[in-house]
Amino acid sequence: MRIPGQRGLSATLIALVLAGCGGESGNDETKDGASATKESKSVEIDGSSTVFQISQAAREAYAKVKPDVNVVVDNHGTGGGFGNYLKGEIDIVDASRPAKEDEETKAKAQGLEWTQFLVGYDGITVVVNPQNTFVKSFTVAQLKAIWEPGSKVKTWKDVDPSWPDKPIVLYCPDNNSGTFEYFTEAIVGKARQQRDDVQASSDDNILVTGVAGDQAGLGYFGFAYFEENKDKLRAVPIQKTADAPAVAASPETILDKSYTPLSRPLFIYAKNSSLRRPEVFDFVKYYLENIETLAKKGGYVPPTAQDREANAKALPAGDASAKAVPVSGEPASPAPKAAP
Amino acid sequence: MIESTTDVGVPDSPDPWSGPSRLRTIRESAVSLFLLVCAAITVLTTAGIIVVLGVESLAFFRTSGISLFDFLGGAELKPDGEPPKFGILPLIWGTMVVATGSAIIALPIGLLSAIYLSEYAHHSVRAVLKPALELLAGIPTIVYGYLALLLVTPVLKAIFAPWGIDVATYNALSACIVVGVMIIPMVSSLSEDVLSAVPRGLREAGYGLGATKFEVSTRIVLPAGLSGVVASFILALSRAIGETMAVVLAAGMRPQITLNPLTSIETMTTYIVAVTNGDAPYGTPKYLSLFAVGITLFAMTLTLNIFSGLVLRRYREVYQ
Amino acid sequence: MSREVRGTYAPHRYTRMILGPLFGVACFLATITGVVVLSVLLGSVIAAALRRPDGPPWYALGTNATELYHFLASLVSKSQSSDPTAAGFRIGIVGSLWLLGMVAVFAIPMGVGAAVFLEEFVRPGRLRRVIQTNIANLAGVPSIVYGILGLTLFVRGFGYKSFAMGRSLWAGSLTLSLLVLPVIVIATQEALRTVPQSLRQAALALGATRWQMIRDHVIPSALPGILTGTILSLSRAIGETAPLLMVGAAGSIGVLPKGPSDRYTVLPVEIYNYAKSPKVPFQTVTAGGILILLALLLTMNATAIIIRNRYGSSARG
Repeated sequence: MRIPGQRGLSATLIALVLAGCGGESGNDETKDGASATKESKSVEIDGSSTVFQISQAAREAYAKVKPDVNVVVDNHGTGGGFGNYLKGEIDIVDASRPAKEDEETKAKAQGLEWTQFLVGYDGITVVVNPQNTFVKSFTVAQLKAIWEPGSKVKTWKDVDPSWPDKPIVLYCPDNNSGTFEYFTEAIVGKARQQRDDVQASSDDNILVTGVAGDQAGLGYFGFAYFEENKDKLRAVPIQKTADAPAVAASPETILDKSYTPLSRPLFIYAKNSSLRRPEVFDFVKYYLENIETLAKKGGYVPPTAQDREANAKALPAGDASAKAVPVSGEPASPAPKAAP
Repeated sequence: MIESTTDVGVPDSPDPWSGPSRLRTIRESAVSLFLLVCAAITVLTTAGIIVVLGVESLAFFRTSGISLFDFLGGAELKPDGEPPKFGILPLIWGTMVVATGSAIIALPIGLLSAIYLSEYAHHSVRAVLKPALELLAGIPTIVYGYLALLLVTPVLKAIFAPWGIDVATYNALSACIVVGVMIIPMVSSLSEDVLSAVPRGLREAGYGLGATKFEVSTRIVLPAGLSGVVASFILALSRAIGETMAVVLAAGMRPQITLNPLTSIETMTTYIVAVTNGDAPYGTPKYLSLFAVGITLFAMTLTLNIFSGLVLRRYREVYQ
Repeated sequence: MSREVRGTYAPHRYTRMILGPLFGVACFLATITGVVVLSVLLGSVIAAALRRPDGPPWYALGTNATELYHFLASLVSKSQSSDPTAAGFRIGIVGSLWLLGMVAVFAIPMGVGAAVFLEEFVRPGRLRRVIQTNIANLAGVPSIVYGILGLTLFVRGFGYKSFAMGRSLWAGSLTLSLLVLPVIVIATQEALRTVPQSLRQAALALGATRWQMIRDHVIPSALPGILTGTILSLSRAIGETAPLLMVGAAGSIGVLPKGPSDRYTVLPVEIYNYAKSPKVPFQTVTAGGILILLALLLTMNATAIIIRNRYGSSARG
């Protein structure tokens, strides 16, 4: 037995429920797209998993100073970070490589200009198994021959006739990694071009385990991972050209750029409109002022005094045109091309 | 004196035989509506997935200029290459390898466990073992991935080293093993529920006619619960096809068509993960290719489900 | 006539006598395999959590157990940190519990409701088969695709700001609910099918309305199967990493979520991040996190099993 108006009643119920849902999510709307609610103050950071270690240390230290500001750090990779930034969802990008041209153009086009700050240096370390004692050093040309796409190098002997005729097993970060991108650009000459038959992983600890457990292993990853596992691995000094001295990776050589071409600067890019918010400005100021301890805590080499000066100069204005330039040598440009 | 038997708690219908009250009718239709909405949500989810994947896949085919035939049948996958190549046959192969391998491990073990738990085990043993197996289902997939890398692969290396067979750090076999272990509980728990629900009368009839426990289990109980058992198989297989993190960590990311299970492969799901987490800017063919791979996967599992649905309908038995 | 019957009567008594117990042993071994794998996994994780060069030997169970307990308790109380000695999982645990609660609230009624609708309200036929095939297919969609769907639909709202929930617990829980929905629906449907028609018809014959019949007779009878489906699906939800990373679980956050609109992180994501860290002592922290996750899982499963046993024994004939 149906009652009259049953359908109308059901329709009203649905409408009420939907209106309730719509009202809830309406509260999450904010200006300039960052997902901060009106009540709490928050700073959203995303980007490289390398710089994540530094930003995380900053978050932790800052929470002791200003516990009411909610700093959230994600690590979706340098590319992912820029992608989310260009959608207006975050305030700061962690980057293990300088911003690309088209990323910069897109940001300007949307009114999302940024300021670049240098927050540290990393040296990509090439490692072999400790039982491998015959490799004294690598030249960039040798590395290129090993890692380039379509490489025919299968054994150590193919690289240097004085080395044994045993197979090489290659380990490297997977192709989402900024480390991978930087290494291929610096060594092979073109970013992201590498041979196929490698053991790739997104987790550098797996690469450490791989090379440490494999006599034939050869791999590369960030300096922090080598530092932590010095007893299980052997880092190979790099010679830029055949007649240059072989330089081993260490905090000093990374800082003074003698460990080339695998020493790379790490950046954060802060949105200028976000810097106008007091909590973001205060956080970035704290970050840059304490960058020495924070970078070390993250496991990387802190910026030089000149770098820090340049950062401080760039900060107060939040001016897009004042890019922080690492004065200690070369401008903040893409990694130097590999020597032919 | 005969008291009036009118139900005073229902003022709207003084006559108990006039049918349900207005409130009850409203409630019945509200409930029906709610249930309809629930079922509709599942359809809407599929629609949402197809829309999101489909729109971007069309964009992929437009911008990359690749034909559907080359995409599905091409054997070279080099999205970073120049020119980029998007033949996903190695991915399809990889997915089938992992699905088949894990099914070989999980389906027999799961089914036998279910039969053991429902027919043979003492109820106190069952009370302990069934939850223990269900615990396997809850272990996060990344743990399974690390387990494969840090436990299964070294064991495989140790097993095969004396015969001189080389086991790579990332290999398909350890991926099959861990995914198989992961889906055992789906088969065993769901099948066990179904088998336990088979009416006891059927078993008693079998015993009464002189059948042994083995015969009752395999020839009476199992066919009676077959629809539920096959449903659990399909659920488990679907999960194996869609498994991502464990396969990434165990099998690596190297698209190739090979019969050697001891080397690295790439499945459709790991490719999607790789591109999602990667650097490809939105709108490029490489980024859009993930949607095309996603919708191919969706189509594959849909075909599998339609096919098994047809097979199931032939063999299902219903018992009162 | 009896001669023909005698010719075909071959009881194969001895074969069957051997085959039977053999089959039983095979089944037992199969079950044990799962348990053995679980023990090996647990053992290796516990060993990793306790790993210290000068620690007590592995058979000193008492010392190891108390040490493990203290270690895990400390992990539960500490928050995320880049310093291994100060690192813990407090925020991830709270986030996971929030998420689990919200997923249970969304997914269980929706899943059971959809299954009840399909089994009780729709005639067996084309429409029902299409919807069922659809749901079975959804079970096989990779979790990362649900992540993409959640990102597009819940976080970004298809581009409409008023529908966008941002990277909040709402988006995460709705995404996970969609992920586990197919499992609940299929398990519930199979459970409903085990309820004999005679039960339904008896209730209807006595004057119950359809909903009364379902609520008071069919669902309690099917409850064990429904609970199994719930257990399996919530177990999966608690362990998911990839879709939550896409939908906004934070990599590093210092504040507990106070409501469903806040940012959050979950235990598996924290475990994953700690595992990737270069500092070696984080490996023990990671192992501790896995143990905490398993303990959470066990508690959850135990609760559902207790409920299942209580209803299962009383409702089943």
